[in-house]
Amino acid sequence: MIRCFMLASTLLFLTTVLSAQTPTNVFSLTDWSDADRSLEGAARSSDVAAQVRTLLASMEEGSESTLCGYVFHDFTDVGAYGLVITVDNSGRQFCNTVIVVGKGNGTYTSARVDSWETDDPAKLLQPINGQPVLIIPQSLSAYEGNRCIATVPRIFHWTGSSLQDVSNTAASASYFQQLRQGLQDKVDRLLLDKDQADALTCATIERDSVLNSLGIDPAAGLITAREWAASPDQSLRLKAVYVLDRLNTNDATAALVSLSHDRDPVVAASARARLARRRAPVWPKVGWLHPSSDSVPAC
Amino acid sequence: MIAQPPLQPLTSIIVTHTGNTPSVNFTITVGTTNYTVVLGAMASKTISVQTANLVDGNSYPFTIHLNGTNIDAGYQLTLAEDMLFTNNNSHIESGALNTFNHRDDNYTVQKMAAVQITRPTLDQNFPLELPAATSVGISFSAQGTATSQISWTVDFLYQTTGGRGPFTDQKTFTSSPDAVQPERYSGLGGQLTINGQQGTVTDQLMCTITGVAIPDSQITTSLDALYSTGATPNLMTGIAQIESSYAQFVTLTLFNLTALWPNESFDGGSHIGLMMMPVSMLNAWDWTSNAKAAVQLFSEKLSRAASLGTKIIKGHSGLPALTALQTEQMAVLLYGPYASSSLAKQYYAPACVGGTGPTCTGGTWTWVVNSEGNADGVDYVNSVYAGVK
Repeated sequence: MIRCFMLASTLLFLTTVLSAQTPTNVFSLTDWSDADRSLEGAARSSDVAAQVRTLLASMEEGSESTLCGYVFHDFTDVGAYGLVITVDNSGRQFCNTVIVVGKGNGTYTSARVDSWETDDPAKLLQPINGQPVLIIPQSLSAYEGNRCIATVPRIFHWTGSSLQDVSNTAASASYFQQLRQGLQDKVDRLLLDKDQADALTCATIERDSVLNSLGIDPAAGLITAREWAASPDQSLRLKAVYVLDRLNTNDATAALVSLSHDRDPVVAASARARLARRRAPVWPKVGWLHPSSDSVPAC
Repeated sequence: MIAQPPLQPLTSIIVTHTGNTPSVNFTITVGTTNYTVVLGAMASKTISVQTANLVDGNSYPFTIHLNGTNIDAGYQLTLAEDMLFTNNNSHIESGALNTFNHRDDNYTVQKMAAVQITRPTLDQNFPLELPAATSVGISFSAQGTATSQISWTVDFLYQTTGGRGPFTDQKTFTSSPDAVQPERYSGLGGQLTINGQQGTVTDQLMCTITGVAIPDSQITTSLDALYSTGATPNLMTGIAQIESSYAQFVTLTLFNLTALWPNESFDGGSHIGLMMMPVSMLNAWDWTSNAKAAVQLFSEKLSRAASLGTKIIKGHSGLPALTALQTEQMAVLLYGPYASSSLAKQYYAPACVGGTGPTCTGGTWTWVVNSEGNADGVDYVNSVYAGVK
């Protein structure tokens, strides 16, 4: 009797497991609101992986891009699954583009944002106040190889067809308050270690950026950036350009103008370009480019 | 043949009296040889066994007898690691303490071959050798019995400070006892776990392979040779400058050793070495492979840049073909972290001069540096060209 019960239990267990492992052919669905939870387990099958690659190749990325990772996520607020893909365009495993794809009425819609080191898309997905969002790190300073680069996460909401930056909304404030405290602790810790001057620079940029975003100190970073602008260290002056560009105040602009005459051609060109970008109209910008039809620019 | 220090006696038995009896007489028999030891309370003594009477691989009876009556005496035995020690068919660990309370016990002991690594030495560090700075020679030697070969296994382990990896490899070879066996390792480094085995006995120690300072002139010569026909023949030196500050190895602490280790990207080593290629054992430890892989990738970026340029031209009638230098600049952006598949985010973008509308009516299309579409990418390209040596 016990043996029969165990056999039945085993069969039930196996049936459940097999059912969960049966790949959902998500790409054959007309609308991803019809997908069910079995998708989450099936998404790792080689068939699905191949179809994700095919989809990526059909988009703006083409066949030249490298798929870093993908995950199907249940965006409960829009009532449909979305495909979150991270992509490397350099061939060097810089997975610095995030693409979110939706499918409704048989049509794919997608949006992409620049990111920094988003190798694993699953790590981008977190709920904030019960709402599914993507928390995507983006760079705040120039890439300088083995030297530090400042990054800060931005929070995006997938609408089903586009990505909205909701970093500055009240709902995101608690996330950034927590981040601010962590960054302040990091700055305090690095201040005690004279061997960590490079890391301290980037941590300072990150902390100040969060202070700006939260509205706690809209000018946070200005004084430091001015100091860096006068530094003999070219790397610090280039970082100053990035900080001042982000601040976008009159004082920051004045300092940026000064850096546009920097003795280093890279610093000067960067400052000039960022000043020019401020003066340029929103649209049309340079050229008249036509995004591919499946691409919806991020807001 | 390099002279070796004399082989230390490895076969020994430590007898410890664990009781309170002031004097206990133990008789230990190994094979046909008796060893007698008198021990006070809680005392111990090491008995050297006459290994000449024991043949490798053979089993011998082993007995221990406590002489006398009404003795408060347990005992502990520790056998050297070259003695396989069994009791009632159960294996008792050699080299460890074994506690007994019987007055007369019978065991079996099997003599195993002894092996002792004499070269390299524990924690010895081997920097890569100049001028190539891609390989290092290590000599191996071990003492053992003359009748059989020593089997060597060298396990390589490299992991960045940020825990990227581990990257592993394994090399094996054999040598005669006491002989010196030279081996050369290319494109490998990190921590080495070296095992020398003879029969069932193994000796083990750890060593390291670290980097070396490579002269700038040597790097420049190599990079220029790899990209000699490009629009900017010494362009690769600029990439090396921005990516790694021209250094394959920098001072770091890994495996508890502060030395020259592969130059890591700021995130703890997702990218490595001179051209900051994706981390791997080869890219970390062979700077020439690192450079070759980068140049190969860059040649693919040149093709990609040309292809993207053609696509942009198709949409902008009259836009001139990209020059070799312009294509190269586009490729540099595509090599960097701000590479994009978007036509709007390349190093060059079309701009309408003197005209209006999507077709540039009344004007002409021209290429402009695309600071608006990809300012960070443009900064990267400018930094590369500014760093050219």
